[in-house]
Amino acid sequence: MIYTLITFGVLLFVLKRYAFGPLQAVIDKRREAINESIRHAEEMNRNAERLLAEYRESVANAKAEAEQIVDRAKKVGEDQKAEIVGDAKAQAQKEVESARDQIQRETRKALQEIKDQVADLTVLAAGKVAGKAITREDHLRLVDEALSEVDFDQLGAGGM
Amino acid sequence: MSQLNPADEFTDATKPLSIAGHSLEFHIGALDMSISKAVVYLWIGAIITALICIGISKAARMLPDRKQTAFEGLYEYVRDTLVGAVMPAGAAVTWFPYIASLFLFILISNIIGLIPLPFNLAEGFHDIPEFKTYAATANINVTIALAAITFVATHYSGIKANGPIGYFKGWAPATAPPVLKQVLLVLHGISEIFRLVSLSVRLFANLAAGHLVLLVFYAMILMIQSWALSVLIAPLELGVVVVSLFEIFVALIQAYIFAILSAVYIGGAIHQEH
Repeated sequence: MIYTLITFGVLLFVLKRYAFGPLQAVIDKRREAINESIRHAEEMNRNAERLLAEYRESVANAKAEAEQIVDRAKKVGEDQKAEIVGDAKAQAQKEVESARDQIQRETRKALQEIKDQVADLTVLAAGKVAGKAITREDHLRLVDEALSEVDFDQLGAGGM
Repeated sequence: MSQLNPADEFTDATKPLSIAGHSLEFHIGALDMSISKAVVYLWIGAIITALICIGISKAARMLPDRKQTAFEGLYEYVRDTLVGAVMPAGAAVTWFPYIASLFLFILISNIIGLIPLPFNLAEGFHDIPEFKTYAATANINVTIALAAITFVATHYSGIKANGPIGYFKGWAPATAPPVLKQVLLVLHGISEIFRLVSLSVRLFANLAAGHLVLLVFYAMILMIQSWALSVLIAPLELGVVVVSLFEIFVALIQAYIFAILSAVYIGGAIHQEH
């Protein structure tokens, strides 16, 4: 019984001094290290979240800007398209009109030529028929009288 | 061949040992300080407990290996569950080393009790030592000494925390009628004494009974004298194995019970609830 008390007393002292103390110190140190790691991780996490928010914002900004650019480009393109189409239409119109003018001019020229030839032929024919020559001035007057009854403009217009 | 008497194992254990003819019988005044097998087992238990605990603590690293994790698990279990749950926080810090030492010492002593060790070198068969099992905690002297430490610690910490008058007043409910109070005070005093007895006898009896059962199995094997009965050897050996396995469980549970009851008694004395 005395030995038990002595042995256990010594064991208690030895364990407290050399086993539990150092072990508790290691456990406390580890706990401190873990706490430190957690704090550090939390801080990193907060930083990461802030960065993420920043990046999200800048990405959203970039997206909006890109949309703006695209819209502007689209508008410019459409304007250009309308301009080109308008120019082309105007050009075509001009060409058509010049073509029409030319046709009318040619038609008039042709008619004038026909009129001249008809007058000459008529003078010739009438001379042959009347057996006498009438002056050219008379003929021209007669032809003009006859032709004034024909509407050449209408003929020309109808040909167009 | 002398007849094996299981009960002898326990009485022999307290006899002084002798080394090379020199008896290790000592007396200091009236005190018997002889070194017996029981004392040697006590020392083996204490030394192995100290070596295991110091070895693991010295090797403790920030990043624990498997051994350290297991020991820290046990350490934190004792600190938080065994001690922390039944004591106020301040007292838990003070009393943790005691409860933990108690738990580990009893546990390791119980386990050592299951390992056959060579003793009685001179009496062995043809100088081959007899391997026998014995547990320091299967000795009433050891368990009563440990229980006495808890007993003293309980009342010391109770008086320290509540003052001598307050502590003994707390033994009887404050609401009880004065006549009944004195009876309750006496009853509580008796119950305190019986805690000492029950704490020590529970551990001693469980360990002693386990060893006795094992020894009875061995004795029955040795009693077999005829070939016809030799068929019983295998079942008896199986019985030894089964009881040994059960004894491992008993070793753990008894260490746990002794430690947690010590913690509960001390915690209850500090924080009286009536």
